[in-house]
Amino acid sequence: MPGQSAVSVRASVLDGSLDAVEAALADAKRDVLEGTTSLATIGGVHFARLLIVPGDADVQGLSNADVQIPGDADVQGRAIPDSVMYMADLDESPDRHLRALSAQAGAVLDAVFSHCEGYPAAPDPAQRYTWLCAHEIVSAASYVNTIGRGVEQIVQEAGLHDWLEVYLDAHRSDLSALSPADVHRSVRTVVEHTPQVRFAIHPAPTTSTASRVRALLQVAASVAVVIVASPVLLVVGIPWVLAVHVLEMTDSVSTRRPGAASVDRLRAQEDQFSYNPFAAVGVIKPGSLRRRTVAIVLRAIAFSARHVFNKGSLAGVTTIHFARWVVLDDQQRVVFTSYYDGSLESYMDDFIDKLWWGLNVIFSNGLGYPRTDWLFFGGARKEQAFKDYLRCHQLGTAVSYAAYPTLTTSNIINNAEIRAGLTRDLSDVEASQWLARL
Amino acid sequence: MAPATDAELDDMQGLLRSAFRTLPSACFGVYTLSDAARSRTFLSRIAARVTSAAARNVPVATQVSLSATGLRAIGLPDAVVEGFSLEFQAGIATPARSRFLGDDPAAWTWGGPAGPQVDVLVCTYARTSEELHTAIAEIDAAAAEGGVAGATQLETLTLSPIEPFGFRDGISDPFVRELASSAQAADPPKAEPVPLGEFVLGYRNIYGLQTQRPVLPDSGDPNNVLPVLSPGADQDNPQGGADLGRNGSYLVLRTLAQDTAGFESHVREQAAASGLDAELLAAKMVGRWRSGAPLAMSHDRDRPDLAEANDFGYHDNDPLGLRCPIGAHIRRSNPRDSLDPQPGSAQSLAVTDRHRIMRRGRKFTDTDGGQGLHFVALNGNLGRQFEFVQHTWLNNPKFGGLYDDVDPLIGPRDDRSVFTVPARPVRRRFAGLPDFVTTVGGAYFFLPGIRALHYLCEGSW
Repeated sequence: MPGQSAVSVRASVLDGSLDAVEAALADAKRDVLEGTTSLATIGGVHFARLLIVPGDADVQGLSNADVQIPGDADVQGRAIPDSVMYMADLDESPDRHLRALSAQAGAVLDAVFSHCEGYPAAPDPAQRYTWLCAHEIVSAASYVNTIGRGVEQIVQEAGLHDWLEVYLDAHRSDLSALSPADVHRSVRTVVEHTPQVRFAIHPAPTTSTASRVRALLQVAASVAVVIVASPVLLVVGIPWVLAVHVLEMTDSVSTRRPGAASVDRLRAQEDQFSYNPFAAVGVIKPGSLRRRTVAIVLRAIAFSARHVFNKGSLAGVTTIHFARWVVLDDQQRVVFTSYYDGSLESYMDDFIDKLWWGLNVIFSNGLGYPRTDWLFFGGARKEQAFKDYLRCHQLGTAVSYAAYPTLTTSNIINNAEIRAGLTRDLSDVEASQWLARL
Repeated sequence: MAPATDAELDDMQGLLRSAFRTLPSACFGVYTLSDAARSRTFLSRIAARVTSAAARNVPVATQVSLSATGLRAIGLPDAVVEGFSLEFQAGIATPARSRFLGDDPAAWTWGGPAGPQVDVLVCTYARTSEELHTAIAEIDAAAAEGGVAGATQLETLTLSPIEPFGFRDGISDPFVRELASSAQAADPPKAEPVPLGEFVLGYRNIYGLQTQRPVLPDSGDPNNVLPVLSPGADQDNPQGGADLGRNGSYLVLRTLAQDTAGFESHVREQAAASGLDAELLAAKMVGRWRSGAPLAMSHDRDRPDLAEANDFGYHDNDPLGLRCPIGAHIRRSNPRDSLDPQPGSAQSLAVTDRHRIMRRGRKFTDTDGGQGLHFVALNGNLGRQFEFVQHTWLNNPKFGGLYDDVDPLIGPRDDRSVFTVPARPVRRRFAGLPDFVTTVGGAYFFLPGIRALHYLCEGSW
């Protein structure tokens, strides 16, 4: 079974070439919408996107009269150029994906990246691959809704669900006379004899014992490190938290509201499918304390995404397919991306109602974020200030590809349960519950 | 922050507190403004008639609200208009919002791009149609004098609790303690009251905060007409100022044409084909029987004694929708205790309460015999309340873990759309749902507080 991975590539746009990149992205978007994108022919891609990250922090309304923006120059004082990012969520390794991409998606890569720094002229797949590897960025943390559930399985199980619904429509009157257990048994027999869905009588692949043991060892090792280091952690941690608390009481808070025109542009891209791609960029507050806090918190997120929030729920939020944090520009900026079900309004409401603490602990290190209290409290609970902050920092996603654009996380999980219920006979009670999934 | 008990009823328009059920005749007039000064004169003539939430037993009630274009047309500076929410500023009929709400404004009879601009809404309510027509004649005379053109007059039918499909309607309105009538206050519902600020701007909302609204520097209100916001009372306006938003609300008006004959024949056909009783199928679509009795409380027969019943949930007795389908209209428009996290808990109810609206609609019959509802909703945050309910609950095929279901009454459909009726052992699925309800007009308005209305009439900004 696949263990998902995430790949990010970032390239600087050549001076004066932004329009050309945008035109190439518009073409790539059309290909996705028309179903002709080469991404679909490369196996193991859950989601993929191309987006522009403006170098000038002012572009997306990051600047604010009361906030000093250091984010438009790197540490050497050079202006940060506009850049294009390619990001994909995969079943295979980033390396294999970049090889496949170089070979099968040459046209789109060339169209977009030929306007970027150092892209070879008329490259062959090997040259593309070398260039992509040179521009790869390792993400600081990533979240996967359900670890180990591959694209192929998701698509197959969706086909199973649709097939079963049609079968039940056609045979409802005969089946209704039976007990739930008998209905289940009869459906199961038909599935067994229908080549298209026969796979479902076998359980879905599960995580290998080796990788479960590995994960367990990682958790054990981390716990051991924390226990051994706990005296040091206390000695360092308490002053650290106090220091952050002092900063957060006086950090400037953005009161900027998103502009009507920029929200209109973003909304024009949203709500086309049952999922939405989200992207935002933030500037980390100045000072090494904030930068180190970000590094530690992202490490904690990476750990808990791997070992705690790995079965369909990110601390109570169940609608996120994938999420990722990438640190850019000498640790001055962070890009956050995700794919979630439903509208941005419902996504933000979920954040505010269920995951406020998790957002505060990472995003409060971003310039202008609504004031927090002891890192965890306040912040996102300031509803309108938080929503304005997100909209002001949001980036458009120029091209977004999904292998299963009409499935919600809830559909995917339900489909997996339907398949799991076909692998054995069920009691009347179990069969009733199973039938309620259809 | 002002304590909740300080509700200034005499500065709110009466619609916030009452649907004017004692005034069965009503008409909603939509107007287009031209000259700013003359438009304000027209508004002052209307403002003099406006009924506050403190008034009792009036024979005729008048309520006035303005759209964003209307506020600009009377000369309110752009910087002030920008203090309102983005949804209000842009209006209901932008392309992205129409996709979001499932609307097609190009085909609207009013409020769409082809029709006249919608600036002012005057809602008039009266005891008799004679009194109503006298009042409207006076308002129209004032309009003519002010160079104000009538865009459309939305006539309504004499008030009745039964909506055009034949179901009792308007049963479940959020309970707001400060706005309760004396009868309600004496016998309050079991549900937690929803904070006043969810519906009336300038009060604490469900997050304990002030909802965004225009607050002006004191210099913006030279005659001191507006309510005073004291320093420190509002997290977004720490210096205080002149509170243009206070005691106001956002009003959503949508004209919903209802194909009553189509609904009846569809229900009869599908019932016959599926072997389900027609009345039961209709009730499954709505979630209540025609009398109003909720399926969650009586799943096998109509019980008129439960017509007004509203103290019920879904999680404990009907988590799978075997009584009231997950996709039924009332379960979508108010999921009560059935949402994540932890369905059945107070937390689940609290999540639902962040998305409530007050409904004040009236039904109509048009000249061709077509029927429908002039849907009116009041809320403090269009994005989190009205638009959320419409998009994320009613129109969303994925609501509640579903796949391709739409609201069987009002949801926009496509080829995949179905309505699922859970049953043991096997559910029923109804495909090929016709459109029963079509939105044919709509706009967002600001229903100002009464001092704010006088400020807008004066024009000294």
